[in-house]
Amino acid sequence: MPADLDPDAALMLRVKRGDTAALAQLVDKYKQPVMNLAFRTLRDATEAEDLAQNVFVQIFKSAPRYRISAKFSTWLFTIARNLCLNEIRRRALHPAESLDAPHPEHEDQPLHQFEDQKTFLPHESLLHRELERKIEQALAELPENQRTAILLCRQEELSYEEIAEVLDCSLSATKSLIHRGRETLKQKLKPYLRSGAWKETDK
Amino acid sequence: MNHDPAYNRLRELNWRRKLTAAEEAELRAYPAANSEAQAEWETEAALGEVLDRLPEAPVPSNFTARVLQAVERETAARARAPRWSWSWRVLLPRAAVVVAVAGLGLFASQRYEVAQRARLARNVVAVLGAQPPPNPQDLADFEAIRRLNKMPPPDEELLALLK
Repeated sequence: MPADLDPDAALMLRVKRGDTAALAQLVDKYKQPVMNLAFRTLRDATEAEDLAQNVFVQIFKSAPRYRISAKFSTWLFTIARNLCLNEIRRRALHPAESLDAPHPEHEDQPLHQFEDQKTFLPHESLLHRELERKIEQALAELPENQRTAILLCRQEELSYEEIAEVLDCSLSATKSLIHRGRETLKQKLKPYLRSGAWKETDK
Repeated sequence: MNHDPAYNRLRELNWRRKLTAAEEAELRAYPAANSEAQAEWETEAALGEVLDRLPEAPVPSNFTARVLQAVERETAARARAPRWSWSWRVLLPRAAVVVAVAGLGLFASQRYEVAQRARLARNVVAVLGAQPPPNPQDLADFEAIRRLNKMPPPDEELLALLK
């Protein structure tokens, strides 16, 4: 094995031989960014979790086809994005029942009860929660390719060329997507961004 | 919008990560001369920091264990699956392909025979055109002519005496 082999590629070579311990290391390293992408695409924690797990199962099933020349993270996020797109298309063909529909047995309760996604930040100020809600909403309203480009941009493992590969478009088109997405976000969030309110709380 | 390449390079760096102190100092040199660019950069930088502060999606503590369980189930299912499946879901498409191929073959064979017969018919017509069929009147004497071939050979000895 070459001395300068990418660590992820080395782990994938072991996964090709059926080494699940190597797969576990890759899962531990990438589960968070994959979950971030899935969650911000699907807007549902449970579905995002299922999809993210399926991404790694697909990695294992596709291991025989993995080539060392392909960077693992690029391959991983390509699979993740494709699964997200499949789910978006499935939802478009089979629209979910209304979130406001009443429960058949308890009419005073909604059919679906969703955990408040902000509860994992219990000490945030009301203003910060409002800003966070606005940001999440603005991100959700972006076209999928712009949103994915912006989210992948924050993954330091991926260069712009690799992001372009995941999005299956040119480098200039990728940068254009990021620019347009960010301009949209700036327009929607300008009052909050310029107020500096988001600086008041520490992460 | 500032189209300076160096400014754009730093802006694109900022898209990916927080700039270093040196990069920030380099970047601030551009908006300093232009208040509009200053406001634009501040909004750009603010958006970068806000995106950085987005909370991580919740990942269950047993996420990796569940992935490995799913992989185990997948491996076990593959080991159990027979090499040849008698499931109708597998056989039906394959049978459809076989029938389609056989049908195409039969169709092609019939077309070939029809074409062969047509060519033969054209050849017969061509031959008949070159040599017209015999007159039926001629054929009426055919029997008499045929019997002529069955007459006894000439008496050579008698012919020699008559000379």
